[in-house]
This record gives sequence, C-alpha cells and structure tokens, in this order.
Amino acid sequence: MSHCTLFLSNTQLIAFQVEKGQLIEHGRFALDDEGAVALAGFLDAWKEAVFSLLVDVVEEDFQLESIPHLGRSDRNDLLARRLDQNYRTTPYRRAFVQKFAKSGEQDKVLLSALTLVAPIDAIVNVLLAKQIVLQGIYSAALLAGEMMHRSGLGLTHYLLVSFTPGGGMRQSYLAADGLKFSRVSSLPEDVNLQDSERLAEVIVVEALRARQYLSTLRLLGREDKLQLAVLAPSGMDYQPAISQRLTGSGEAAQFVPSDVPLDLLTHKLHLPHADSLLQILCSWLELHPPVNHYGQGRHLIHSTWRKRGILLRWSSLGCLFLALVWTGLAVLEAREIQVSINQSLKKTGQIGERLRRFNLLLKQSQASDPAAMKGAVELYTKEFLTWPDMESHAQQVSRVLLDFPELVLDELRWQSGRAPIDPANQAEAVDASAPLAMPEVLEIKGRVEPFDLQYRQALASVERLSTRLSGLPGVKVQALTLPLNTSSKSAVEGKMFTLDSQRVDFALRLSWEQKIP
Amino acid sequence: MKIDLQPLSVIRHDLILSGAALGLGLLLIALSQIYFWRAQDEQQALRSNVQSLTLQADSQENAWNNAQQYRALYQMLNQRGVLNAEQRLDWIEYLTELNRASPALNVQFRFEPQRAFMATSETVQLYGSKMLLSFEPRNEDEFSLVLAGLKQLSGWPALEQCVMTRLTEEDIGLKVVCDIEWLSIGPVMVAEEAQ
Repeated sequence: MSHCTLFLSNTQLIAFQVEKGQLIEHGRFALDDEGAVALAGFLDAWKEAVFSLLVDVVEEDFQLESIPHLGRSDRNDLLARRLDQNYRTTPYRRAFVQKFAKSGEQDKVLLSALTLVAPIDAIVNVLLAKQIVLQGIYSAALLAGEMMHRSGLGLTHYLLVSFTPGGGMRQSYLAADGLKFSRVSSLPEDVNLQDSERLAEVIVVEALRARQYLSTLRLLGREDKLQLAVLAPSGMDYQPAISQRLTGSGEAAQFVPSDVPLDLLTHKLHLPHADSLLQILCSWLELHPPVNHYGQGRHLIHSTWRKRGILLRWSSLGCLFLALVWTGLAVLEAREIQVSINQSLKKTGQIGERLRRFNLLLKQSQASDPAAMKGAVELYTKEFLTWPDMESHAQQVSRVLLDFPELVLDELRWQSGRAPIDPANQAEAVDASAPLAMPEVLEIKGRVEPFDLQYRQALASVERLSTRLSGLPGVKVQALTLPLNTSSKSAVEGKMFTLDSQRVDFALRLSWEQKIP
Repeated sequence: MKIDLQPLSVIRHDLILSGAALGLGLLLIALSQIYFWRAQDEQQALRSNVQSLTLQADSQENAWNNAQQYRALYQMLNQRGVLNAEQRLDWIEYLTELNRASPALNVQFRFEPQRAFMATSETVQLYGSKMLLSFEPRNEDEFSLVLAGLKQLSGWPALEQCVMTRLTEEDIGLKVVCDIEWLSIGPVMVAEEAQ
C-alpha cells in the first residue's frame, strides 16, 4: 500500500510521495473550490493509498502552561478544559505533557492547535467521504522537533531554523523536553536560499527577534547563550555568514551558530538522501509513522479500521501458521502411528501364522479337548494318586502281627481320612476348594491269649507290638485299650475272671498323617 | 443503536484474506485431525486384533502343549474307564459273578447315586458313586483278591473306610464292610444340572 503525504501550507496543498529515495510531487492544489475539485479527482486515483496530512501554516499556536500534578483521569479532564478554553473554535488541538513533576509540583504542558480550520476540514472531509485512510494530521514544527530529538545530534537547547516550500522560514525553540515555541515568517521576496549572505542577514534578524521574545517569555535568561541551528539545504553553508552578521550586530556572544546539514540528519535518522527538510519529513512520515498530532478519532476512523484490518490479517496469518504447525504435528504423529500400524500388521501376520500352525498341529493330532485333558490329568494327580493305600498299610501291620502269636486280632477298622467334598455339604467344609485331609486311621482290636492272669506279660506283649508298629514309616500309635490300665489317674476295679480268664482285650489306633495334595 | 459498517469496506481485503486464512487453517486442522483420528482408530483396531490373535495363539499353543504333555496319561485314564460315564454294569456284573462263583463270600452291595464333587480343573469335575460293599472272605488273601478284582474294572475304586471282623472267635472267616468311592472325571456340571 503506497503512502502519500499531503503538505498544507497557507497558500496551497501539495501531494508528495517518496519513490526510490526521491520526493516526487504528484499534485499541487489551490485552497479554493477549483483546488478542491482537483483534489477530489486526484484522490480518486489514490484511493488505496495511506495519507498523512502535514500542516505547516502560520496559524498554529503554541502555549506553554503549568498545571498541578494530578492523576491521569483528572489531568486529562483538566487538559480538556484548558483546550476548550484556549482553542474552542478548532478541533485540531493537542495538549502534551512535556515534563511530569513530582507530587505537589507543577507539570509542564504544551498546548497547541491549528487555528486554520476551514482548509483542513475540507481536506479531511473529502478523505473521509472517499473512505481514504488518513494516518494522522501532523504539525511540521512538532514533527521537526521530534525528529531532531530522535536524531541524536546532541542539540538540547537551540533555535532551529528551517525553510518551507512556500518561501517561509520557521524558527522553533527546542529544549531537552520538547518544543517550546515556533513561528513562521515569510522570507523577503528578493531572498533565495542560494544567497547565503542575504539569507544570513534575514536569519540573524529573525533570530534576534526570537531571542527577544523568548526572554520576554522567560524561557531564556538575558545572559544565556542560544544555539542557532540552521537546517541548510544540501551544498549550502550559512555558518560563516551568520557568524559574521552576528559579530557585526554585536550579539555574537548570545548565540552559538551551527549548521545542521541535511545529509547528516538523514544519516542519523537512517532515512534516504534528502534535498530538503520537507523530504525528510515525508520520508519520516512514511517510514516511521509517528503518533498523530491533531487528528481526532472521527478523522482517523479509516486509519483505525485499517490498523484493525492489519491486526486481523496478521492474527489470521498467525492462526494459519499455528494451524500449519498443528497440522504438521498431527501428520507427524499420524505417520508415527502409521509406522506402528505397519509393525502391527507384520506382527499380526506372524501371530496369524503361529495360530494356523498350532491349529494345524491340533487338527493333525486329533486331540480331544486339551483343556479337558489337562484338567483330567490334574484331577487324577491331585485326587486319585494321593488317595491313601490302606491295603498296603494293613499288610504292613499284618506282617508285624505274625511275630506276636499270643496276640489275636478280632477287628480291623480302617478309615482313609479322605472324602471328596460333596457340594451338598459344601457349607460344612472349612475350605471348599481343598479336599478333606484327616489322618488315615487304622484301629485294631484284639486279645492276649492265653492270658492266665499274667497282666505284666500281657502288657509287655501289647507294649512290644505298639513299639514295633511305631517303627513303621509315618505311623503314630495310640493305645486305646490296654490289658490293664495302670495309670495313677484312673480308677481300677478288681474283677475275678472266670470264663474270660483265658483272654484279655486291647485296642490300638494307628494313624498316618496325610499331606494335603 | 445503529452499527456503522461502512468502515468495514476499508478492510475488505483484510477480511477476505483473514477469512481465507482462517478457513484454510481450519480445513487443514480438520483434515489432519481426521487423518490422525483414522490412524488412531486403525491402530486401536489393529491392537485389539493383535491382542485377540495373540490370546488365541497362546491358547492354541497352550492346548497343543497340554495335548503333548497330558496325552499319555489321559489315554491311560480313558482306558481305565475313569473318564466320563461310569461303568456300573461292569461292576455289578463282576460282583454278581463273584457271588455266583463263591457263594460263601456272601457278597452284598449297594450303590448310591452319583454325586459331583467340588474338585474341578479346567473344564472337568470330579464325580463319585459310593458303594457299600460287604462280603465274607475266608482270610486276608481272599479279601485282597476281591479288592484287586475291583481294581481291574472300569473306574477308580477308592477305599474310604473298611471294617474287618471275625465271624467267630474260632478264627474261621472274616466279615468285611467297606465304603468304596467309585471316582470318575467328567465335564463340569452346569448350574441347572447341579440343582
């Protein structure tokens, strides 16, 4: 989007554009009806451009004021009242706090306004009507001061003298905190910028007047030296002539003359080469758009919308970038998943092959239900093989008894101690999942015969039998009944044996501890 | 309140560009997300498939290993008639024949209905039929012969308890009463059958 600067002087309006470092004039319009028509026609061709209105007119007023140091809201209210009081007739006004004081002291404020309302209104209205973007309404004096401040030339307290295209000479007094005073005076008709002697004479005369005025305003002391900085066109050097004139006038002690070559200024401001201050101002407006000076919100409505549009554009481009990043990450992740899918497919093939192999093996082996096979074998191992072999135990006992002919066996009672748990009796089982595992018991009942009332011998025989049986592996022997209970804890009743005097009974219990399968 | 939309024409290009950029961005996000979600779904489905196939393959391998490991014993149990339905007719025939051949044994028996026990493994369950057997052998050898005969039959006779007494004090003949559990292995009983 191209940029165009409309330069308004007291006599005319000029449209400039900086192209390839050159200030090109695209139109010159008189400040009358014909000029307005021509401007409208010109603007039709520049509808897409961004415009800045640079005003350099005599009717620009500057007032330095001191106000109490207040909070932001109160200060704004106060400054608005001051502007209303001072510049009621113009909307192109501005209040700028140059120096914030400490609490209880006075802030330094520069109030300024463009009092030449009609031509500015005409220009602004036609721009608004054509929906052309107006970037801002700028004061040449304020803009020059801001540029000088940014240039880093080390000038802090000086009278800046510059020349305007309409044949005027502007003198601005600038201090470290900004512009204090500015005015435009017309150059005499016989003076041109190439005549350094004549121009120096005019500059010195105007500088002396300005100094006098500044002293009146108490901005300068009578003995203070004022630096006189002249923005000389390229190739011109006014300093020797000015020094000579000042010496001639006897006021040399009050001034420090110095030239500010435009080349140096453009170099310091990183701007393209310029032949005049106007070109520098236009370049500055285009390349480093400053804060608007006099334009009000309604004047800059299209600029505001343009900024919103730019913000929207960049935001959307930012969103697009984020979307691209998001997309990239999603695609990257999806590719990783795809790799994993490929691996899974490969794995699926391998597993499928394994499954087919075992299916084939099982089919070829014609095996019935393998789970049933395993279960059957497990039950067999757990329940069948661990079942006590009572017959072999009985045979062991029988072999021992062969050595005791005096002992006659009357009854053998075996109990395996095992019984699978019936679901009907499940509630009675302590642990239904485990089979009952009580000791295997073999009870033998018999008699000692012949007895002949030989208790000691009978007891000895049973005792020996008990000892022998205890020698069998894993057997515990318990005497249930002995031929005679000789324990001191028991009562013994004497009985005369008659018919049974030939025998005496005994009973032993043999138990084998079972391992829980 | 009337909203002035006229200044929007100033940013019409920006609006178009922004709309296009945002639309493109949303489209890209949507397409990439669809691609991503599809890949995720495919991966999930494939994972489930792999898991399922792995389980099947493991199960079949396990079955094959079981078949290899337990085949011999299983066949032996099958031949012993331990598996599935019990062979009561064989037992009764044997005991009847024993009584006929040796009336002195005075063999008497009674079978109780078959019961399913708690012991289970894999898909099979332990069953048992209690047989009350009484007989009168002349001596221990004859007693052992009777038991040995039972062990030759189809099924697995497990002695639970036995009482052996003398018929008379003169040492002639024995009286034996035994509880024998005929164990067998069959499919796990389903709940309805159990009731």
